[in-house]
Amino acid sequence: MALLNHENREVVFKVVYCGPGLSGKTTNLNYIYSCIDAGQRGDLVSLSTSTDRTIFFDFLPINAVILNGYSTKFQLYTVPGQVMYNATRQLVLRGADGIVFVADSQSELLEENVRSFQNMEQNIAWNHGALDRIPMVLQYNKRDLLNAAPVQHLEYLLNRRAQRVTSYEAVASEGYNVFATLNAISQLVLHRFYQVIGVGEDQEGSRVEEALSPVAQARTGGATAMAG
Amino acid sequence: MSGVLQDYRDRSELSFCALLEESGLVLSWKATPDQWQVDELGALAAGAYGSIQALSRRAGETGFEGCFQHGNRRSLHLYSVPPTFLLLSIFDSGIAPGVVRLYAGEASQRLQQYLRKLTEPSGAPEGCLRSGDLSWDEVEKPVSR
Repeated sequence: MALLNHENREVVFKVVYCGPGLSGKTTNLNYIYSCIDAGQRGDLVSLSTSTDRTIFFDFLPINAVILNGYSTKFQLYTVPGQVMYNATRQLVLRGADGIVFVADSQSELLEENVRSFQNMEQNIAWNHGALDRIPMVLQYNKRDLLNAAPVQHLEYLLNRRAQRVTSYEAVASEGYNVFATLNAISQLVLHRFYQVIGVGEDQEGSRVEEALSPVAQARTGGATAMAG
Repeated sequence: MSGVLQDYRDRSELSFCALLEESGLVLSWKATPDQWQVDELGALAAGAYGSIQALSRRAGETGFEGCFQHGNRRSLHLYSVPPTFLLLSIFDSGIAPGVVRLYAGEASQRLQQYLRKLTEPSGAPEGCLRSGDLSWDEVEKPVSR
């Protein structure tokens, strides 16, 4: 659940990027960090091994615009994907307002994706939460690889819950659909926030657009970079 | 909340102190005029606290109040504010950790009382709250500082 801070006049949301090891979670954050203007974000904090594998988490705070006199902030985290770091994943998932599950599209890693998804669900339950109550977006990463499994396979494996979620094909290393994913999860998180505090739908739409404008601006930059 | 933190900082001569949630979200903080990356400190402190707590459990401990890092220049102290909050303190290494620990305990008690009041249904929407606790109309009320 988001945190409303009256003293600093802030609304802070926590978004966690989950997924199996080497699926591209950190790559997503690195790309976002490189595209967003320094004034709209903090430093990217990475606790990683000497080989750049995430050992604890990556953390990137993003500032959005003022919303009803309150500045909105999105704090983006990644979890370590490797199986042995489960205790760390549990900690990082605490208080998550939104989840991006970054799946590795490679055919031989489908089972690993499923295991990682199940593990995420267990860890959310461990934190007294339920996946159905947390906004989530799926990102099928590494679509540029020759051994990428058909999207239908990934959808069948990861997106067949009672309520299907938005999914994106992505190439995080090139920035393709990185901001589309971020934009989608940000919108879902804000919609959920407005539902909780009881804002009407007519007001909600414009406020969500307003809050996401820095993300939208950065996305335009990202798309240009892709085209180039 | 702000007053409790200010009082704690003054008495312990801290460089920085913050009340944060276990998830890493910083609710309130007080500091010297130095530049502090508050969001990053919150995320790292919550991670460190959670890790040491988990280690402690694996070592067979049932209770866990906090942890301390003695530095050459500045030291760190993390203290529990039950049920789900933490008090992060950063102070010059010349200050006795015992003093910080003592005042952190007192501040933790006062903050617990305050947080308990806030989460009661009749609690005034002042300070920091979970979004589920209030409506947007309440959010827009002027803030008393």
